[in-house]
Amino acid sequence: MAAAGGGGGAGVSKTYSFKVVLLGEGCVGKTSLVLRYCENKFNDKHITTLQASFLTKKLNIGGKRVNLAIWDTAGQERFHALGPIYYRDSNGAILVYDITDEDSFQKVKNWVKELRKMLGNEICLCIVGNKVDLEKERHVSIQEAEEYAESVGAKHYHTSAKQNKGIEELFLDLCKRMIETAQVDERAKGNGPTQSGTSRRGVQIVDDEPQAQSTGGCCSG
Amino acid sequence: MSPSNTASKHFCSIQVTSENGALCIINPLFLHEHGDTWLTDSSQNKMENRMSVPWCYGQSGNRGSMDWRRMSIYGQRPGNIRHGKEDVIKKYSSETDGLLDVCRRLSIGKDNEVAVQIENSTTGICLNSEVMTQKKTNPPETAKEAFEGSQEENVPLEDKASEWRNNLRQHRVSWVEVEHSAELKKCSSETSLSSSDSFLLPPPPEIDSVSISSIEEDMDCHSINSGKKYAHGLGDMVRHSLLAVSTILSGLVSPEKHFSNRIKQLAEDPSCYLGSMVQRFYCHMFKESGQYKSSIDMLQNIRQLITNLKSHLLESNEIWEILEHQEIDEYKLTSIVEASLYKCVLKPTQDVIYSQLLDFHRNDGSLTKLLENQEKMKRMSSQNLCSGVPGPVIMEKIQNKLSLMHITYSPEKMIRHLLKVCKLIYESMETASGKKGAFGADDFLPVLIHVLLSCDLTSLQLDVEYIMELVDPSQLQGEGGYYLTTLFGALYHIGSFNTVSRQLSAEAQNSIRQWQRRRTVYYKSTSQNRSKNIKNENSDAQSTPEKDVKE
Repeated sequence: MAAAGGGGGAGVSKTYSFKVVLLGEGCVGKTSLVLRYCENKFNDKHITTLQASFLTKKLNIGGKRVNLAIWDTAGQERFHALGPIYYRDSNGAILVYDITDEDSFQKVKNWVKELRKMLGNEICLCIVGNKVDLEKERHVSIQEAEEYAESVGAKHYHTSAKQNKGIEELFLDLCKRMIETAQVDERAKGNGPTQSGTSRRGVQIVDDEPQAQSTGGCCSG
Repeated sequence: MSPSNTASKHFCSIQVTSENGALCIINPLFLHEHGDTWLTDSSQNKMENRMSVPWCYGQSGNRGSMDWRRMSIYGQRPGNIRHGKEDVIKKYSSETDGLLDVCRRLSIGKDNEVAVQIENSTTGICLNSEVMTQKKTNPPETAKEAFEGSQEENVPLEDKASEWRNNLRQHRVSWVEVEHSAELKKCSSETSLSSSDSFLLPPPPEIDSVSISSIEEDMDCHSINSGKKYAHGLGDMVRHSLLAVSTILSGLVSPEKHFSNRIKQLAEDPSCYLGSMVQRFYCHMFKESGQYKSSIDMLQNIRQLITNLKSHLLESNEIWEILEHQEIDEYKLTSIVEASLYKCVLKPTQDVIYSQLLDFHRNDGSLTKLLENQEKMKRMSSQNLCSGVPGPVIMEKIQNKLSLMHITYSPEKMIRHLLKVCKLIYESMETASGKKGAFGADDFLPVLIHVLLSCDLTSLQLDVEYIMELVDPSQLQGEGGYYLTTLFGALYHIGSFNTVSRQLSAEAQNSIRQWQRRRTVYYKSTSQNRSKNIKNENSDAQSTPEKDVKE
């Protein structure tokens, strides 16, 4: 269900559209992480520009174009039940915990279980220990975290949103894995473009394109 | 009806006369594009503004006090005429007198001056530019000839259709000022209805679907106008006007509009596949309503119809023939088809769909639960205020936007309204916190929920379901999809408030699985289309600048 077929024609390179959902307890730094990644690259075509709840990013990985849509979720416990609404149909999930907070790692484990149960192995999981700048206050051991990740078929990353460490690598790696998954998927389905082939069009409304332009600044008024 | 015939008929004109004697010709294609709402009395002020634009030709003095009386003389395409000959003849005798009279009164004075009025309804800018000459012949005769012309072309059609028309017509008569022209107006309204709305509409249940669309457009138009006026002043108007002129001169309609008009025509023609499917669907909705098992069942069926018709259109030769001479990129093409189908399928049936949705959810008790919880949470939230919640002024704006969303028929446009609401919320969060931007879901969702507590949740609940099921599934991965999901989540949270479960109910989980399966089904049916290679490349257009990353 992952990749967008760039086209049936030979020689036309493919464009993949991936949806990635960010999960994790409140205050673990999900938002800072994704903001750091998309820093200064906000999409001014978005109506809710400059917000971190929904972000997109374009990548070109070895000639393969990737459109990444990053969906943030509310980490508060009372919103836990809304998770599936967000992660359905995702190609990847980034599960963030705070290395200084044992509880937040436990939450990640819960998410992993739920995701595997609901979406199976099709989704690429990344477990991310954030705030490595606070190494001295670490409460989740590196070994434990990495072993756990391996045991559930996820990859583990160490990041610091504050120091901008490990974030590029995390997303790049995730994209490569999602491309692989998509290609396997494609081969299995017989080279046809897959389901989200027409996706990532965002909210373009052709019907009143000129109006959209002229409304630009006055939606608040 | 041969295509060439159609084309020639297109260019007959509707004549609009003003009190001071200038005779204006409005290209029916223009009405076809933009409807005739700008002619209505309520928009007279706008009209006056337009008339005072400097390049307005053919008006002298008295500009501000134009009294627009309208009459319509034009040749219709046979396919568009939905009432019988006799009907026309009967009307003709009574109307001609009035017509003659009006013509006599209105076309005094001005020689050789006819202003063609072009309006760009999306920007609200209008100009009178093209000058045509016309002899100061006896207007009544001209009128009569033209009228006879149109009469000859009338083709009798089913009685039912004419009934519908009569119904629709009644809604339009209100915009008539003078009694004479009232009769005349009826015929002009017929044309314009055929242009802006599907003709074979069944009688609108309560409110007139036409007026819904005009409210929608008027309101949008209005807000844009006011925004623009202050921001850019006349400079922009001139620019837009010049643009409009060049567009007009270079082919009268944009290929996109031409294409979507063609789809509309096909939908009105019961002899073609599209038309027959659409008509069958109307019958189904209006006569056999209430036979769906659930709301989801109903909406999925409708979406399936749209998807099927879309595939059909994209494959049909007819469309490609039109496109041979037109430059529309393929990505745009699918969007136009989608939007046109919303207009054909959803616009006329929106009221019925909603009343059914309401029935379903009244019966299953979900609405009652939602409203109960709304009250409960309201009481609680008054104790612990969450920061960033908009003040009363913004709240009112939000509520207005949401009610605008509610009356919109196109799921895509509804999403656009929703995004504006989200933007307003973010703005008030920024004001409250003093920091600029960059709020994540942790911050946004609680505020959204708080905002929703003072909104009409019944409408919202139905809207969300309507959009989610009916919008092109590919739209659900973008920004609109995200905020729609968030709205859905917020409503779900309110509806399930105080229930112990940490998990989604089995029901909700099931619906999510179904949803995923559905996307696959849709996908399969669309992927069988002609492969559209460019589509994906074009879909890149709206994202961030591309960034190269070394492997």
